[in-house]
Amino acid sequence: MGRTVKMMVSCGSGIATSTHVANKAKAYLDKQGLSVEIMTCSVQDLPNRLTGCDVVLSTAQVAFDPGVPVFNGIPLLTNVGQDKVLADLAATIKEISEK
Amino acid sequence: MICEELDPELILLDVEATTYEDVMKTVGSALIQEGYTKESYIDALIEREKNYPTGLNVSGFGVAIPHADAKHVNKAGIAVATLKNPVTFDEMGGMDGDKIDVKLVFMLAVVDPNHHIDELGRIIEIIQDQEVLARLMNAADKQTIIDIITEKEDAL
Repeated sequence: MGRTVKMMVSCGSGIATSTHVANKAKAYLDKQGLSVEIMTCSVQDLPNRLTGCDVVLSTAQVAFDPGVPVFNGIPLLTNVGQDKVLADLAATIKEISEK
Repeated sequence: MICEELDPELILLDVEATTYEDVMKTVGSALIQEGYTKESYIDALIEREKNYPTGLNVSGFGVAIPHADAKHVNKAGIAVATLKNPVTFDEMGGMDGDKIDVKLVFMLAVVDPNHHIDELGRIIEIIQDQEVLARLMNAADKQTIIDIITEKEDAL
């Protein structure tokens, strides 16, 4: 198993959708045997919360380049295209954990 | 279970609104009146919606999940509103100009999302079910709305 990857999940308010999306992603990643540390924040706060962060999953638009891969979390709310996002997210996290 | 906590005073049918601001005012007023949120909630909802819209396109069906910061909330609750005519909302996470015509609104009053993580998850699962969305839209009264949600939750 590789190292623990740090993921920040952000949304507009940092309270509702980020929490749900974080939990959904964690459950999926756990099943894949991937070790992830997940935190949530509002997208306004995101620029200040990137230290040590390897990947971002967001339901709100991230309007700047955080320097790490960013994934769209909305499919985890609408279930439209959810499987693909989770699979891509897992693949990226696996790659990062093995570096 | 959400169905057990649904307050009939927070279920609004055939709300008349032209803009999303109208929706925030009408549905937000119910939350304020029933003591769930402070009076500042409506302005907070409108402000939030401008920057971080909450419209979701569930395979063509428009649902909005407006909510604002916990500092405006007294106690957790959900208001469910069906709109008489579709109202344009911006899409969550969308590019400027991505809009969706919304027919159903789940307005949330959240204090601490970790206390209600199961409920939040259930609301999300409910809105992913197009058949449930269609039935909610056609509900003739508040009890039917509660019954539809109860049925869906039992099946989850």
